[in-house]
This record gives sequence, structure tokens and C-alpha cells, in this order.
Amino acid sequence: MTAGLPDLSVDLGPLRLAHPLVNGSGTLDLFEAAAALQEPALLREPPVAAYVPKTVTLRPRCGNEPPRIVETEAGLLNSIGLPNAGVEAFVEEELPRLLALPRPIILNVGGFSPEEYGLLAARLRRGVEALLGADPSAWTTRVGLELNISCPNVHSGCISIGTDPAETRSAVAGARVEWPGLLVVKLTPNVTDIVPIARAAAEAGASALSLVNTFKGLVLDRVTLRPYLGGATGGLSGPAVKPLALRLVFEVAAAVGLPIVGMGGVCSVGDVLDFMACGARVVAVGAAGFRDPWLPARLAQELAHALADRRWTLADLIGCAHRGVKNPRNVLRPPTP
Amino acid sequence: MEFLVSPVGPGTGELVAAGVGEGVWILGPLGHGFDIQAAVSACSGARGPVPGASAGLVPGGAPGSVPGASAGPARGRLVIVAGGVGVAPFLFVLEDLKSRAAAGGLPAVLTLFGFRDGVQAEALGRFESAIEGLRAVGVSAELGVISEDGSFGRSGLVTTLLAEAALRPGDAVLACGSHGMCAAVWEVCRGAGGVPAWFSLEAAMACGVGSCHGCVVRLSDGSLAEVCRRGPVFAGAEAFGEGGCACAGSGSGESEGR
Repeated sequence: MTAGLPDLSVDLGPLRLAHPLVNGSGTLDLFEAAAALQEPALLREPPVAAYVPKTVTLRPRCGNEPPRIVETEAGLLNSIGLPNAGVEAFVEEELPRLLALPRPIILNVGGFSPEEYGLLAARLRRGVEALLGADPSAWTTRVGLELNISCPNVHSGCISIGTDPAETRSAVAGARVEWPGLLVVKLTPNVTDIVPIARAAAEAGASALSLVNTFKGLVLDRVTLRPYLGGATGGLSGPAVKPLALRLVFEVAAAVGLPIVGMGGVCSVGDVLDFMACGARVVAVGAAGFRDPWLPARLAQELAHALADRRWTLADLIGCAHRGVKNPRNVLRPPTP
Repeated sequence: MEFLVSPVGPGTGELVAAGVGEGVWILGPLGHGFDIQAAVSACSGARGPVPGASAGLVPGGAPGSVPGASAGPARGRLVIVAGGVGVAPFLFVLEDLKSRAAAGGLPAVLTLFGFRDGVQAEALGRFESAIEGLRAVGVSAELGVISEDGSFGRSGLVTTLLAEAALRPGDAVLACGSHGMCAAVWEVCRGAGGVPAWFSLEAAMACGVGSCHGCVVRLSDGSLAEVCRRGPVFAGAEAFGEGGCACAGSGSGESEGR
């Protein structure tokens, strides 16, 4: 850090991050971007404090039928469908070059039943051990695991695992058994009340929570008046969702004591300040990174200056929005009889 | 640096309103453009009996300068087919062809543009200049224009002009436009005895670099390919195959005005 600017380093479990900005899973592929833009600097000096690759599933997935993305007012609706080559190919081909990056890595997995999370965690652990050694203390400062629990449970009518506390508990507990070190659970906002889900994840052993994933939405084709996306509904991201995501971070931070990775429409330093004020100690840039892969690094610089202007440290900022707030969930009190 | 922009919304509106001296941040160049050398080479030498029409014949360069060509067989034509905003890349194609003219051996160039209405046809002057430039260096170059509402040129679709051009073996096609147009053009190419064609396809893109996997189209072999990375230019056989459409669409039909 430049002299005079505050220290931005944050710990996320055993991972030490140089600053609080990371990418949202599935929105930045450092290797593709470096190749397409002919910018090897993206790999030498990744513009994120930790790199989160896209969701890996047990079996290979082609992804959803196109069209997969459509622009909305201040947002992006996507139905990509988690295309990936499956965990075996990932361990063979992706893991080695990920671990060679000069940043901590937070691997991301998605399962279609609670049991799959344990299987994925176990497989990735074996893959990491084969490259970095069997002793966890040798690598838990460099590699964490994030569970994408927005996936449907194909055995339970395809209800999203992260909408049910019991399923969440089961998925997280299964992964916790297999994975030492940082275990982040990424919550879905498509729930009536996110706090029970957050608590279930915490009780099952999560090290941290990341929130939120995309909000379910729908766009119709202007001409045919039928769903535009190949997958019909999709997930909304971008500035339109920021107030929604911010509220959820605020609530979870008030209710659960785990570290939080906040995300949802982050594109400016003001957004970073907001999410951290609400209790996030790490902030992820998702859709905004499509336009500018270097945005997270730039926001980190701007954050340092914003704090310096206020003469604040990072500790002053994190959670400051909660001070004096007695009723964070704005619960309507019943009239006194 | 100049751009040909159709102002259809806030983003393009801002680009059009930008004044000289204003900064614009560009991510690119991205993807694979038209392989003009391959297209020109595909025109060298007819692959079958050629009707006696003299339209589109260009005296070849020095003997032996074009592989497979000899003084006898007629050269095929490079046929450009574009609709609406799809005309834009061909300004560069025409200029690139002009820069290759000195080396000799260029085929005749037939450019066919279709527009919805007169508004879309506003930029025609630039293309007419580019085509004049080709003629000035000895390349036979023609331009045909048609509009759906009849306000510019004749009334009809660009595929009408293509039918009149009577594609034949030895021709090669470069095309850019709506999926419907591209699919129809490919059918004509197949029907004309397998005329090679390259299509610049379009898909909504979030990242443009291969990160988001949002811009895929389904190729003729059933696989999904990113238009930003594998494309945007695809060979007709790869994109459309024996039939069907390299659709970024879900089958719900044309999506205009999105």
C-alpha cells in the first residue's frame, strides 16, 4: 500500500487477502480474458485479492440452450446453466494452473443433491493434496472452497437446496467433513427469510457466508411474447439488485456472526463502502467485471482513498451501518392490546 | 478512428453523441474476423461448368499467381450479402480488398445490401466510395441495394438480389445479418452446388472474452460455440451444416428491437 493510505488487508478464514475485492464466481475467467485481450498481466498481477473460478459440478455440463443472457434495466438476466467440464477434468486441467496464480483461490462447486457437495469437496481436496501436499496447513492459506447452494435438488422436486434450511445443513455438513480450511456458503436470495438459511449453514460448520447469488427473473421476447432465454427464467444481476442484496447482507450480518463476502450490483467505490458498512468484510464484483476486468483492483485503490479521506481504518468501516440500529429487520410490531 | 453506429438505444446513442476529442474505452479486437485471403482463394477457378455469362469476370494476375487458376476457366465472384447493421464490417472488407488489388488476382466483387427502410441506408455513401475505390484499382465491383419498404432501391429482401445474382460453383460468399437472413443465404449457397460461405454471427455478449459463456450458438454438429471467441465469423458448413439454423434463438423467432 502507498504510504499514508490505510491497510486494506483482510482475513477470510486462513486466507489472507491483500484487499477486500474479489470476483463473483462465473463472471471473470482470468485465463480466457488474458488470452482474448492479450494481457498476460492479468495472470501475473490478477486484479482481485483472491480468485474465484466458475462453478464445478460432478459431471460435465453443456449449459443451457441459447439465448443465455439479456440486458434489462440496469441489469443482466442470465440463464447460463453452469457449463463446465466436470470435476475430473477440472482437477486434471484447471487446478494446476489455478494454484500457480499468485493469489489465494476460492474454488466453487455446485451439487444437485446435498450429498454431491461432500463428494465434490472430497475430490477437490484429493486434487489439491496431490499438488500441494497432504498436510492441510501447507495449503489452507492458499485454497478455500465455496458452496453454490442455488442448485436444484434433483431428488426433491428440483427445489433449490439453498431455499431449505435442512437441505442446506446437510450439504454444508457433508462438505465440512471433507474440506479443511475456509468453507464459504453462497446463499441464494430467492427465499422468504434468508436468516434461517444463514444460521443453518453456520451451524453446519461454514467458515463464512457469501451473499447473494442472482435473483430469479423473467424477460419475454418483444415479438413473440414468450420467454426470451432458452432456460425461460434466469438470474438477475447488476445495479438493479443492489438495494435488494444490500438489505440481505445487512440482515445476515445482524443475525449471524460469520465473516461475510457481500455482492450484488457492485460497480463503484460507494457500493463497496455500502456493503462493508452493512457488515461484509470482503466484496465481490460480478457483472460489472464484464465491462472492466480490472474493476476490483481499481475499487481497492479507491477504497483506500475513501477511507483516508475519512481518516478511517477498515475496522471502522466494517459493520458501521449497524450502530444504533435496534430493529434491523424492520419487524412490524403488533398493536399493543 | 471512425465507427459506423446505428443509434438504437442509450449506449449507441451516447456513442453517436460523443464529440471529437472525447475519450472512449475499447476492449478489443476480439474474436476472429473474415479470412479475406481464404475467401479470395476460394474464388480462384471454377469448380464446375460455368455458364457463359461474362458478368463478374476479372482478368487474372500474372499467370500462376493464383493457385489453381489458369488462363482458361472463369474466375468466381466474391459475393457480399448483408442486411441492416450487418453491412458495417464490409466497409473494412472492401478497403482490405483494395489493398490486395496491387498483388493482382482479385475476383469480381458483388455487394448486395438489404435494408429495412431508408434510415438504415444512410451510410450507403461510404460504401459507394469504397466500391469506387475498388474500380479505380481495376477490380470489377458492383453494388445492389434493396429495402423492405421500398423507400430505397427496389422493394424486397436481399435474398431477392442474391437469387438474381445466380450463385454458381467458383463463387464465394461473405455474409452478415440476421439469423434468418444468414440461414436463407446458406440455403442458396448449398443449392448452388456448394458455394463456400462465411457468416459473421451475432449474439448478446456480456464479457466478449469467453468468461461468461453467454454468447453461444448451436453449430451444425450440435455443439455450442462462443460467438465472441470461436467467432464471430463461422464457415457456413460449420454453422449451418446440411440444414437448420445456427440459432442463438430459442426458436421463438425473430427478436427485433431488443
